[in-house]
Amino acid sequence: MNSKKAQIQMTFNWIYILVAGIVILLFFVGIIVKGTAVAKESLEGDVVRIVESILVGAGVSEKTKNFIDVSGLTDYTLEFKCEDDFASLGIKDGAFRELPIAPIFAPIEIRTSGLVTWSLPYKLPFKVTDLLMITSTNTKYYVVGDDGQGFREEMEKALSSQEEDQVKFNFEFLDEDDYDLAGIGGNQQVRVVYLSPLDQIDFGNIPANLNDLGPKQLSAVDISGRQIQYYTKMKGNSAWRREGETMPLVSLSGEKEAARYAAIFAGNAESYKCNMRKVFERLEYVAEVYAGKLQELKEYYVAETGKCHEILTSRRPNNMGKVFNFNFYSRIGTCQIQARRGEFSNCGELLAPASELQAFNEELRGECITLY
Amino acid sequence: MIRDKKGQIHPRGIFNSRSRIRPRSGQIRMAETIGVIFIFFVIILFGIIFYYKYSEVAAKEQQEKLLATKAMDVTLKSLFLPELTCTRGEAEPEDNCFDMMKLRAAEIVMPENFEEYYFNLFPNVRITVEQIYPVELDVEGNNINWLLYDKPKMKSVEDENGNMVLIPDWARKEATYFIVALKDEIKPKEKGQYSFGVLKVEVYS
Repeated sequence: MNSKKAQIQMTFNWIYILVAGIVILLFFVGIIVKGTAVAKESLEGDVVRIVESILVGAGVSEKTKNFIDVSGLTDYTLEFKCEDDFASLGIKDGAFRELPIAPIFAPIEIRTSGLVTWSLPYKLPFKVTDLLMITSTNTKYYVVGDDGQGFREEMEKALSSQEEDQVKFNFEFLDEDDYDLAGIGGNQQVRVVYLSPLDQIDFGNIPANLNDLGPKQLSAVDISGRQIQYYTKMKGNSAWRREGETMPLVSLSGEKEAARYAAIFAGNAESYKCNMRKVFERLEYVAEVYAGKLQELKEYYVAETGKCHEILTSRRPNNMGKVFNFNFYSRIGTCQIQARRGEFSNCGELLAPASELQAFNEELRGECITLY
Repeated sequence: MIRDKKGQIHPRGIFNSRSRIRPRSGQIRMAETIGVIFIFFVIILFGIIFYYKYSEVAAKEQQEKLLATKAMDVTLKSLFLPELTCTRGEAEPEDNCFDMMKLRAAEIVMPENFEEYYFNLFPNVRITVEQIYPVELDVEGNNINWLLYDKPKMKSVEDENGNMVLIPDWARKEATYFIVALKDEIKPKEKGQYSFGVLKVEVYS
């Protein structure tokens, strides 16, 4: 009787120990799981914060190219989103940070050990903001065609990697003969950049070696003339498919046209439009400051009847004050409204007065105080 | 004297002593188990308290670090603001230089538009520019300065009348200073168009 009782007690003791053990084990497993999740979240947050901090520095250093070694982040896919009213930088399916102001032109997804950044000022005609272009060492760009305006030569000079360069852009300039040699190599994605209109060149099809790639890995942009058109790969076809509408290039002609270079680096048409919208939003506030400066200049020169006063106020039919206020500043609002809808034709109308302001400013240089 | 189930008589102590032995060893074992579990949980509790305290200190340190980084980021952004920098037409702008005509205009434009735009650029900071040389004093006897932006952290609370009011919600400010040149072209050249100033960025926390 007693031994039976003892047996039962013994069994009960073991069950008790088992249950208690499982509960204690579960408690620790719970802590570990929770801790791992928190650590992962915190690490992702740190990564995003560090990348953002690097980009702040890169964004403000005008005309500088930087190579950023991110070999510690090869396990993460960085995501640069800009759609409608939402822009962010983050880890794919993880932590992210909103970027409502900074215009960043980059592939949508980057998984790399090396980032390359390039900052160019956007001027209309005064500097509005810096456009930050980001790419990776494993994003391949093939440049095809020639606009005949010297842009290809300028690009080659700016983007070809020299042996002694620290910054390695992954650009290759192709001729018609070696067009079909273009391949993905060991790269993550490929962008073909057309400098001649795609419908006018006889090698406008997808290069044979790139035909097997999916739309996420392969895209093209036509930046010939003063227009921008993005292309994506059509499924099961060797021809490009238009992505979105053709957009006007809202940029004053000259050296290093930031808006044109930005089109090369932007992930897709939506991302380009979204980031340019940020630029035109900033334009309003910068122009408001310049309106204040112009007013002060006009007041300063009001007493004199010389050249400065003439350019600023009294020249007929046009003077700087008139062009700035009536042809330029008053049109920015319309440009912004349209840019929010992803259209830029009204913003394109700012180019003519901006060009006039540029000429007036050059005239002021030397004897008078310039506007910018 | 106690009679057992078989009818045998036992002195009280013997039966009792036997009946006491078993429960006592069980009680001891139980007490041991409870003791072990108690000590185990005490140790766990100590561990949790220690970890909590450590995390609190680490979080505070991290917050300090973040605040300093944020202050540096805001200073960097402010130094290169197109709304303030000295330009030279198509050439590159002058480094660490603010155009006074633009600064005076920005002093109006930036506070007017901080909710629509500038808050996204500078959340919860105060940005001022102070001229330090040559010394020029304002009506209150301080160095002349320009307040470009001030957006302290605020929270809304209910007052005694049941109305919602905004009160400051920050404990400290992390300040960074940067020396800049202030260029005022409408000043006569012989008097000097450049002065020295300090850009002060304070981040509310």
